[in-house]
Amino acid sequence: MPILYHGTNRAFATAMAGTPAAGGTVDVTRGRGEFGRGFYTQDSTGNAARRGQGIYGDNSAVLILNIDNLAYHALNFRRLNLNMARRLDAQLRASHMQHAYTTVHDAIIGPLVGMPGIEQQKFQTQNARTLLNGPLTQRTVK
Amino acid sequence: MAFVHSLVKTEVRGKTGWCAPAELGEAAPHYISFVIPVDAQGDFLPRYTCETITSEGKGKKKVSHELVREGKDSLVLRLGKLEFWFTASPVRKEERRLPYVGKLRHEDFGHLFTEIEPEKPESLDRLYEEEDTFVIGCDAFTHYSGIKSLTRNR
Repeated sequence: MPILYHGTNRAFATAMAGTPAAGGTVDVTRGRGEFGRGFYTQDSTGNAARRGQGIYGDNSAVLILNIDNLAYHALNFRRLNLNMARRLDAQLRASHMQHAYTTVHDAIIGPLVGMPGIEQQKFQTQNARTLLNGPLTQRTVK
Repeated sequence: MAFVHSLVKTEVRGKTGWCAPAELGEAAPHYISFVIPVDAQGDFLPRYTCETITSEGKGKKKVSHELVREGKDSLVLRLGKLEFWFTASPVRKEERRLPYVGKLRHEDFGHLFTEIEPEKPESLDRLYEEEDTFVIGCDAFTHYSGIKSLTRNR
């Protein structure tokens, strides 16, 4: 199962985790980053924790998403290598589109430009939102 | 003793440098760099203070350690029996030493900073997964002046 991490503050993480009965409240229309607008996760738990701490201090937490393998791989991905990730990041910075850029894919996956050994995932569609907030994703807060 | 810092590369009024993630909020990049102040020649100092944070129930415990220079371009952080090695980040010459360009205050911010990278990033992930501990370097909310007013309304 893919296990992905999002560093944020404890109140946001708890709200996004929701409950098994009611589902989660991950919003794919608000975040921003190197691949544009969407909800960002990464495969480095240590870096996610550091990002949360760096922004929110002792109020920080990590939202952990443990996603069903089949459902995750059924998403429509756009995969970027390091050169493609660097190019997209540079384009979005130059055009000030980091808060707006999306594609038709459910998620864009590629390396963090600043640390290519870490993979980031940007979820950006209603389909992806349904998976992240639904019963096929276990959401926990650390 | 100077600290290791967790900062992000950014551009302020056309000047590239480092600032604290808290200054950018959720707009901060998703990778937080480890950076260290260097001397006038651009060399590492012999040792740096490096803090770790461990989750304990609903609280967090901060502990100070030392990141020690070993050789010309390597440093090691020892936590008990565990060793975490860092090396200078391979970047373009003009980006090798950059200033702090944010608005917060810390005595290290008068120096230029060099980015260092963990040799095995996955070892830092294991530390968090198995011992609920992560390496922060210098906790901004404890040591940076001006951060509380900056984030008061967040």
